[in-house]
Amino acid sequence: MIEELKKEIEVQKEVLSTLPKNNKKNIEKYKDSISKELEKYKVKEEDVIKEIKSRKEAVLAKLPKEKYADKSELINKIANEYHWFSKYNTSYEKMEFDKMLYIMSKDKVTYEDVNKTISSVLSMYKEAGVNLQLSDFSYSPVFYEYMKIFLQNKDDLNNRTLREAFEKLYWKESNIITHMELTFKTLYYKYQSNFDKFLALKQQKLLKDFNNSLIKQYQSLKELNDNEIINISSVYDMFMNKELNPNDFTKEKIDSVIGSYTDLNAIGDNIDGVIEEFIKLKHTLEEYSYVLKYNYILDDMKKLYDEKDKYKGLVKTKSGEIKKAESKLSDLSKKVYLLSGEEQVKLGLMYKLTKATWASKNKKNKDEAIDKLYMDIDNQIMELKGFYDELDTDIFNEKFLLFNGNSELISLFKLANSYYIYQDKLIGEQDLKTDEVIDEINKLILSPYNNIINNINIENNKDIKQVITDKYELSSINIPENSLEDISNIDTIINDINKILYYNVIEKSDFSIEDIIYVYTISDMFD
Amino acid sequence: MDNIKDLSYDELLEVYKIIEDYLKFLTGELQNASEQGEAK
Repeated sequence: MIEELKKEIEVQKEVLSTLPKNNKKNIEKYKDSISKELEKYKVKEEDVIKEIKSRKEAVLAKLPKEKYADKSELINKIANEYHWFSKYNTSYEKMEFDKMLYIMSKDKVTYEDVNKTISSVLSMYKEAGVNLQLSDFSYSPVFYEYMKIFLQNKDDLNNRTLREAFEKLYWKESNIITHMELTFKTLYYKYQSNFDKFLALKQQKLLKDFNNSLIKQYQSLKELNDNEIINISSVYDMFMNKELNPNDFTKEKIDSVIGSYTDLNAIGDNIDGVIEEFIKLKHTLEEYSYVLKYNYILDDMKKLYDEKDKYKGLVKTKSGEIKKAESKLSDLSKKVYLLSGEEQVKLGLMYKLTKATWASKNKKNKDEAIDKLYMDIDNQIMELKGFYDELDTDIFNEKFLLFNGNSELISLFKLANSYYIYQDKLIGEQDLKTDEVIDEINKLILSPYNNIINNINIENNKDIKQVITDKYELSSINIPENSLEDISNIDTIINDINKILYYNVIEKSDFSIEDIIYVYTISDMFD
Repeated sequence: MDNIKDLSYDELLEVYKIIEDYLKFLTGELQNASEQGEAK
């Protein structure tokens, strides 16, 4: 038919070329002939377009009526709740007080950030059944002064009086944010039992919501979703969104991809078995890719592990130093409250009596005495800030004592992820976003496909590349060790495996690759 | 058009291309002839 059509057109062109166009009359006749021809071929074109569209409809009719409902959102939601169950954290970290206060001390914060943080902390205490009163903030007199006005204006944070109070106190004490940080830190210890109870209830509720095991629920949903998400509709969409080019999916090309990893002739009828092995390989490569990506964390954690014997007793020593320094701070703060006649802070009769002489001596130059006390208090708080930072590190380091040579790499990831400040410092050096990395590592920890990180021990120096190569050689899949040296090579193999999986989905559907190439080709041609 | 339903996907699209090219040729010819007529 094509040849006939071409011939017909050639003949017609020949006929048209012989028509005279030497005068106006002949030109009009020529135009008539052209117009008739145009009309004739427009009809033919309409027939062809109708057929093209009708075939497209026939292809689309092969798509399932309902698309698979992606469960990623629910899966991510479960992953985000996992930190409530970390065995390395107290309720302080689980409530994310550490992260919140660390960010306040680390980043440039605005006045609005300060107020937002205070509001959030108050709400978190309220949620845990603690209604904080002004007297709870007596740790630092300058922050106490701010909280006095904050609590009066907590429902209107844009209040001018509040802003002016902050500015005035800031000029008086520029470390006011550190004073706030330590006040909240010590307040947690005062109300720790409330948070522990709150946490227990939270965990109970989560377990009820997620079938008694968050991890099992996550893993079964993840496996189900991963199996179902690669279906003919999603593969079809990838072609139509131009993420895939159907011309890369001809049988010859896919055979060539498969042939670069395994002996095509040996597959025979066992294509399902081979596909299963490729899926396992894909999971292994994804896991190994994360090990390479986050090797700097594993390396740093291993160094800390190697020195674990040094950490014994550090927490106890540091806690003792803090106790001593806080007792000194408390004495200084109480003197301020005594001089200023602050009634809401309970000083105790004994304290008042023992300090009565001192108070009467300083009564005349009260403001001067208070200013001097503020300076001493600030020095004391800044020293305590250093102690608390060291204590945080000591508490983290002491957890390495829970590990031994048989502990697996996954434990290092779990511990690293439990301490936001550690992760932020390490990840920051790599110029990456801390929250994104923590989230990705969290999902790696929960993955149902782990074979490397939950089997290889901290002290084991096995070459993981060789373990992978040898494992898949047993399944007649050839993955040379040098192809596992960097993440981009691994990504190339994963892409190849995806092509094989997508092709397999097409093969098992009512579609042919010709159907897809056809719809792909005409997708930009007609509405 | 006869036998259009028997064509493969590639053949159908080739037929469309041939017709489309021919229609473009005819439209061009008509345009040229109109301009020529006006000139005379």
